[in-house]
Amino acid sequence: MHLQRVQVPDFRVLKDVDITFEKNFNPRVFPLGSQNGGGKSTLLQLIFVLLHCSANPDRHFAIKNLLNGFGLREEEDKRVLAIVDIWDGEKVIILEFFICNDNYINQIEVVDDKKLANNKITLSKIGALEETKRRISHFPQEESELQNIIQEIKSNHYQEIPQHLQDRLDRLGITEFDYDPSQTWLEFQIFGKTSNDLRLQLSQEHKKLYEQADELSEDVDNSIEYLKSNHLEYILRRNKSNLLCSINNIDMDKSRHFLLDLSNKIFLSAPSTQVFLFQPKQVKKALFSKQDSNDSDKNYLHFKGLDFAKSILNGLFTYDFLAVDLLIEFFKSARDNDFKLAVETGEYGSTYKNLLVELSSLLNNKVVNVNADFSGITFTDNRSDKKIKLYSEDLSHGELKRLSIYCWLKYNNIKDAIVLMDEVDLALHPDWQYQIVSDLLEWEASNQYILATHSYELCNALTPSHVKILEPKLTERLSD
Amino acid sequence: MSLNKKELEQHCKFILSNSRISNKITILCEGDVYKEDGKLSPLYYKKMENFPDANFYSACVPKLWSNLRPCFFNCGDRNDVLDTYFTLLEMINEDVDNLYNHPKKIFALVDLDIQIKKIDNYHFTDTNQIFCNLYQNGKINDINLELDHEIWITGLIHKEAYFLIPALQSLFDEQFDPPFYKGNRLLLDDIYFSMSHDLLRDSDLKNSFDIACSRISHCNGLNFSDIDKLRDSWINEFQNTTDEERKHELVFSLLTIRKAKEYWHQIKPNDEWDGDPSLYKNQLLLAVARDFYAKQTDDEAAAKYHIPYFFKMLRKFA
Repeated sequence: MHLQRVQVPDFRVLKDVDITFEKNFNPRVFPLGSQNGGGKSTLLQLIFVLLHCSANPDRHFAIKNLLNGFGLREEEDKRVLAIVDIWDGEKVIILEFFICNDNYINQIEVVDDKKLANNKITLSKIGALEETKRRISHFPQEESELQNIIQEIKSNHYQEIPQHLQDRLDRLGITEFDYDPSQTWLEFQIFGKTSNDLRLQLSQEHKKLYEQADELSEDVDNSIEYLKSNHLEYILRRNKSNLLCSINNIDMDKSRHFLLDLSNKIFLSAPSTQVFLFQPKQVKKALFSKQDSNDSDKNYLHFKGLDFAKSILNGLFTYDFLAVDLLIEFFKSARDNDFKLAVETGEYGSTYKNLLVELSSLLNNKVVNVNADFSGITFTDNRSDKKIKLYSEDLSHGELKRLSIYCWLKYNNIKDAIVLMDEVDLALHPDWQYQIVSDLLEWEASNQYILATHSYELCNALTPSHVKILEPKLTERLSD
Repeated sequence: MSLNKKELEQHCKFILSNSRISNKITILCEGDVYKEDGKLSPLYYKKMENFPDANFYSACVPKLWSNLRPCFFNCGDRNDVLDTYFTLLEMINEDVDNLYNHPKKIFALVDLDIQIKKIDNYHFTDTNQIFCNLYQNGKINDINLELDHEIWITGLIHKEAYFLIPALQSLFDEQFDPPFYKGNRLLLDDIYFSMSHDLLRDSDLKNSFDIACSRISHCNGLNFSDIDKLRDSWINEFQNTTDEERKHELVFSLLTIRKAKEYWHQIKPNDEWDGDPSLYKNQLLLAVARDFYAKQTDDEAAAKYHIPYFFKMLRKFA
């Protein structure tokens, strides 16, 4: 996969961006420069979120957060967010992400299609469908709630249903039912007329919702299918507008598969102290707010949100102090590989041993190893005759950063992918800023790397034409 | 192109005001001086358009040399490089107030060229003397390296000759977009034949034929009585050898006397290359530096290909 071109007409600070990353350049490492606030991070995050999350509904929260403040302007039915050209190894596939209202959808000409109700594309029903699905997902809780209500009626043998119970029943959609206070406690227990009636009503209510969901689903699915025939992939609906992706130069039967494949081939690494646009609005807002929360609360919110995002967005990696968990997993996987080989051939493999050598060479012959119980890692300096135990403070930030990036690429087997790296040079000495280009190529040359940077040294490791610049635009910020 | 006095002074100030050079080895090499003012940033580098020659050498530095890497500067033509070298030494010597950044040591790296350049105030009197001291039988003469060379001369006629040595054929073949020469996939042997045939039309070579022959006199089988005979004997020897080492010796002899720039300039991407061919050449140069010269780290290969040995020697000072 290769990200060949990205165009962003107007998103936050990005205005009229049009950058080409030539697929035939050697190596495929592209520094991306701009002034501070020029939009490098925004661009990387926009590309990552759109390509990583579009085909995966679990990740749509990230797109919705990213789109905060990006809406249709007055008298506008469609607004382009980004156009991304992807080289899949054989051809260029052009993805145009845009938001549009229902009016735009309605203008798509529907040629007699019996599947579409009234020959009309009805994405507006998606909201209703989502709400219905949300209610369906609460059915077990509703059933349990009804059970509690019945229990209370049984226990108290009311003359009439008290208001607070009636309210709870209303919330379950049960507004009318026969309650005969003359029935004896025994009758209520044995025949259960009232409780059966209540259960029946809830079950009918649920059935209605299932039917409604089926009906809506059918309409929505048909609409989505029809959009496909117009080379449009439906992504999500937000605030009465739809995010669609126009896909060109690919058979639309394969378009979803392509987007899914692409989502597994796009990665973003960034400092964990970065403001991430895919974080919820309140988290971003808290970072810059003096009121309501102290600094530790803000940090807590930020990092908790980031942990959540990382648990869902598999392609996201942050340069933390040291990715200890990742390193331990890396050792475990080396151990497992060796054991697997032993089972298959009778001989242990050398993956673990090789990993130790690679890591040692990465750390200028300092040796990193894992505790026998995999509870942590240790560093020793073996360069002199004596083995000296090293503590975290003995290792430089730059060394740990290189180690983390190496482990991230290797452990996740990131190959033939688009790797976006923000502030990769941060904490690296100028010599290592130059060197990081060779490092990345040595660690995995099949990837395309786009490196947001301020480093002149890093650029010097490549030719001037490799360097891409986000030019400052003096136009007014219209997005917000 | 030559720097005038004012430009030379400005250029030297530019080098000494660069904090990167502090306590580092600084190497002055040939190549256009980029004269735009501005902060050293990605944008500044982007505006250069062409891959600076200094960056070619920088990319030749072995990867293991990861700390205190040397700093390289384009300084113009051969005269400019030498002028910059001596001017910098003078400025540092006079800088009692420490107004400038001081490098650990300064080196100059210039092309051999056919013409000999006289050097004043140095322990060798001219470029040819340095060449004779640095190289023996086409390889680095490591015995003489004790003489503390600070001005290095290429063993081949120009830097461009190092882009055309036989060992690079496989690297060219492996390129995703392989290079082309005169409409065909690049075969370095084709270039060597063109170069040998063109010996006769090289007026500089004619004028300095004796000097040129003295530089390759170690190469057995060549007839140095005149250019015609040299050409014929070279072609004859080259066509009749299958031995890689002998081929290397013959090609290095040819690349020591015949200017290589015009042949390098004729190398192009194929027609399907989308974009400016000069960008392609820049990237090819980077690949030559990074994927070949930076990897010749053992002593024998380093001496054979010259440039890596230079860095081996420099490493001792870093």
